[in-house]
Amino acid sequence: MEENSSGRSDKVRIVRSNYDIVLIMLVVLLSVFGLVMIYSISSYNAARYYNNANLYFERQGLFLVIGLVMMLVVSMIDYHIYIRPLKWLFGIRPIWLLYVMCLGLQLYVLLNGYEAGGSSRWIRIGSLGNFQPSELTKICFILLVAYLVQTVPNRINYFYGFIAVSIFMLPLLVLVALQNLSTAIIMAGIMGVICFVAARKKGYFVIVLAMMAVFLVFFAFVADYRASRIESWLHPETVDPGSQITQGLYAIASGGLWGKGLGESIQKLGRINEVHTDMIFTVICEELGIIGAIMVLAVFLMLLWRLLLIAVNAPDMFGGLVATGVLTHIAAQVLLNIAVVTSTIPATGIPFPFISYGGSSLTVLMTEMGIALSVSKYTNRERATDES
Amino acid sequence: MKRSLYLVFFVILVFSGFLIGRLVYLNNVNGDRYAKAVLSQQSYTSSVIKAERGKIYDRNGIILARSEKKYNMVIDPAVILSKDYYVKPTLTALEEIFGYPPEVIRELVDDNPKSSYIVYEKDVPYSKVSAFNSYKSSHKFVVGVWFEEEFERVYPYSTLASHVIGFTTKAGVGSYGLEEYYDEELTGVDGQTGGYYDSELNSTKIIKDAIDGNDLYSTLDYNIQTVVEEKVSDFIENTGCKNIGVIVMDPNSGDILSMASNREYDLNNPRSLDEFYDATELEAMDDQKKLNALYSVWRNFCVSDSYEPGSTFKTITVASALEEDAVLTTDSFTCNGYTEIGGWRIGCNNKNGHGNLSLAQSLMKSCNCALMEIAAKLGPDKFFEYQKRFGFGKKTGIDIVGETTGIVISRDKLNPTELATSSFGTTFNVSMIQMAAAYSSIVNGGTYYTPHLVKEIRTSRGGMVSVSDDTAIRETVSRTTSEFIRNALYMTVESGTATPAKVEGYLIGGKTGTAQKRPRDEKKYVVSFAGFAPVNDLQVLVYIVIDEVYDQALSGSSSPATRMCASIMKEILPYLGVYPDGDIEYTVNLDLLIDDYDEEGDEGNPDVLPDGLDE
Repeated sequence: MEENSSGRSDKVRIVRSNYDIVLIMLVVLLSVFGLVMIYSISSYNAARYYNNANLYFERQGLFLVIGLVMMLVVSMIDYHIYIRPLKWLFGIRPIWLLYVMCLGLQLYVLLNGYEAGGSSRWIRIGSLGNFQPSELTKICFILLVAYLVQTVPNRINYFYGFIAVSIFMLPLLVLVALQNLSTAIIMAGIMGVICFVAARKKGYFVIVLAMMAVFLVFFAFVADYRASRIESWLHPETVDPGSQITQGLYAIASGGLWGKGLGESIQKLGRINEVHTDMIFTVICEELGIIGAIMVLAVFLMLLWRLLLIAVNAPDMFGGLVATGVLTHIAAQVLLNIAVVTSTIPATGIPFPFISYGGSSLTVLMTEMGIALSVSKYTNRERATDES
Repeated sequence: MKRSLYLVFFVILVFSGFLIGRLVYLNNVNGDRYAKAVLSQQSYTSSVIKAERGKIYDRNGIILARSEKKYNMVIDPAVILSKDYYVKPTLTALEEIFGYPPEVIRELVDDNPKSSYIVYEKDVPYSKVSAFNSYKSSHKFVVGVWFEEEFERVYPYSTLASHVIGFTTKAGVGSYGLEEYYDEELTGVDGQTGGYYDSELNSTKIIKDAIDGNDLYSTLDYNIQTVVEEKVSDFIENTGCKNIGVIVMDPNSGDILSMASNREYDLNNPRSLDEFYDATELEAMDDQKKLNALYSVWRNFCVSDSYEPGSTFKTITVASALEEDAVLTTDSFTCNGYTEIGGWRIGCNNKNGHGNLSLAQSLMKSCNCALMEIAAKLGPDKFFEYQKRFGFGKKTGIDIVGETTGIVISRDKLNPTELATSSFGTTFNVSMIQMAAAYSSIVNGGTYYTPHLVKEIRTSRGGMVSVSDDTAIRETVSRTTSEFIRNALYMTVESGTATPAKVEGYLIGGKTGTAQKRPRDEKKYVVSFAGFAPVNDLQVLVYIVIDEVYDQALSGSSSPATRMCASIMKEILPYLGVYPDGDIEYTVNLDLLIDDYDEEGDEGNPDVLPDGLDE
């Protein structure tokens, strides 16, 4: 880690602005595009059921503004503050407080969360709607794994180091998994990638991969109540023609190369349940075609590339690993969401980052971007100092 | 670390590439099939809960149109064949409950192994449906058989008031009549069921309930409509004519109690022409001809057709002139049998002339010369203004589709000759509903009500949506004018041109009309009669128009219309609570009559325009 950062600093000669402007622009581009798609998709049903065509559009717009403010505020905070012992906190590192808070919140929703969509993983917060603590838990998780790994950079080269980190994270993972398996899987993936990136000897990851594969197969195929879901994954049309996966496939396949045009989707008119949240990619395919889908994916890849540069250029291991975690989080959600809606893997509910309707998801993603920006800003300031 | 990150990014790129490939694959392999599925989802009923279309009632709560739930059995061979152990239990279940021979079903399933949607039997009774469903819940290998709900529109009195009610297409869209005019009210909002996977990987059923359509409470009276249609079909059977229309309305509210014509068609089977043409005629028709024939069958003569009203319009001319004080009830007129206007010699219906007539007698004798004089005194400006005030030349706004505006002569073309011919109802066109509404206002004391067919709209649970109580829109004439007209038209029935309209024991007023159709030399006539009763306590107005009576002896006479009115009045007045009175004390102010008029009546003589006047 150290040799990387010292070897890099003399190559950079240009003093850049404190912010990674490209990253901010990509984030704004994606979320504004999401806003347009949400309006296109939800206005019909919102007008039909709530008498206000702008309902979802306005709410998401509000969350976008909140998220942008949060991103800028968080980006101004030195990211080291999360892991430094603070005097006014009696020498406790904030990351541990966050850990305890997330455990508490997850426990709380597990015991008496608000019932939405059949499973309890929400907390009502007044007029803003419902908050999903598992989103906040993802941030905590990324920070904590990065922190743990960078405290023991050498032990992570061995399997027992990885197991040690896992044991620390296990309580949170189990609590999340009890309510929201897909989020837990994504979190486990984030942990794996952070450890993988940090480790200099990577041989034991073969075992890790094998373990995860066994775990997934067990949950997907063996557990009885999911077996029927596998059936509907393999034969979506015959098993349940009304399911949103089948209807989503119809949407994707009827889009063609160029799509039907913005606003022209037929499937969004009430056939796909929850179309403005997890299934939003299907309507992007229907309205904008394969070309539109590829362009959306390309923007995401550019975003991931910026995050990779931040991770690579980070001044210290912690910053680099946090950026890696954010990168993995976004990549995992994008890829898994598309995989679900194309029926490539069995169905599960994962929102499409920045674009799906949902306040918790958007604001938390924005906060993560703020942390990544903070890493990038710190980098640049150090570099600027180096040169002066 | 750097290299590991590039490796991670590379893996992301590979997965992205794979997913793009998957998108392309879905579009290429399934694109057409799925795109068609999207377009054909209208019939993909598994996920739609159909809303029930609203009912249509008559004014006493008799159901004129309703929707019935039907169950269609759908067999899904693809599912049945998906596991070997599904086939036998399913066939057994179908045999046990429906009695279908297993070999037949087996063959059907084997012949269509890929199909998922075969409607095997329509209109399955509900008892069988529930029996099957309970059987199925205890036998878990019975699969691939389900029932889709469908609503079928049913008209219990098939042809009754068909032109008013209209029908619905297979897709449930209203066509013609109230069904089309109130389609939005009658149609509900479909609900939906669908599977949804939450992030816990459980499948959840989402149900959005359907909202049923609103019910219409029409102003039609089933009993009056039945009487009227009986009389119409009697006439068609015994005498025959090209078209006939009858409107019965309550002149004090604008409620249409009955609206009928010949060519009432079966609403349960609106596309059948069997009633109107015989088999050989039908065979000779191509599709376009059949379609045109259907259009003419579906057309509502009472609101969609216009014609020259003839002498029935004289009432309106006289009422206008009286209202404007252009003439007085004490004025007298002289008829020599013709009047010369604008170089034309326009004859009266009595070629010998009526001699001296009072204003009332000009209506009783239906004298063209007197009317031309009255219209000249009124002047073209006022005449045109009153035509508008009585609602001619524009739609009445009745709540039914296909209303015509008719054609009136515009003010700038209303020169003395046109004014003269217009005064007795020729050279311009009106619709039946316009005449009925105008007559109602003249005889009810001067209030013009928008004629209407629906009183109330209620939700399926009885909640009020809207009431039509605001239909009085303007005053046409004063009470005194109205009273004079009522008396004059009473005398017309008592001793004028409309004596066949008399009904023993009732005070009936009315005015006849006979107009020659164009081209004039074909000697074809539209005869009509507007009657109302009782004169001293107005309850009902009946307006009848008969287009081209087939019986040559009667063709130019208004008597078929007046007689039909009498026969309708005779049956509906007691029903409306007006009973015949043996000795009626009712005297009209005899000052209105001049004693020395020519007793040689001219009842039934048509109004004839000089050749070429309006060609």
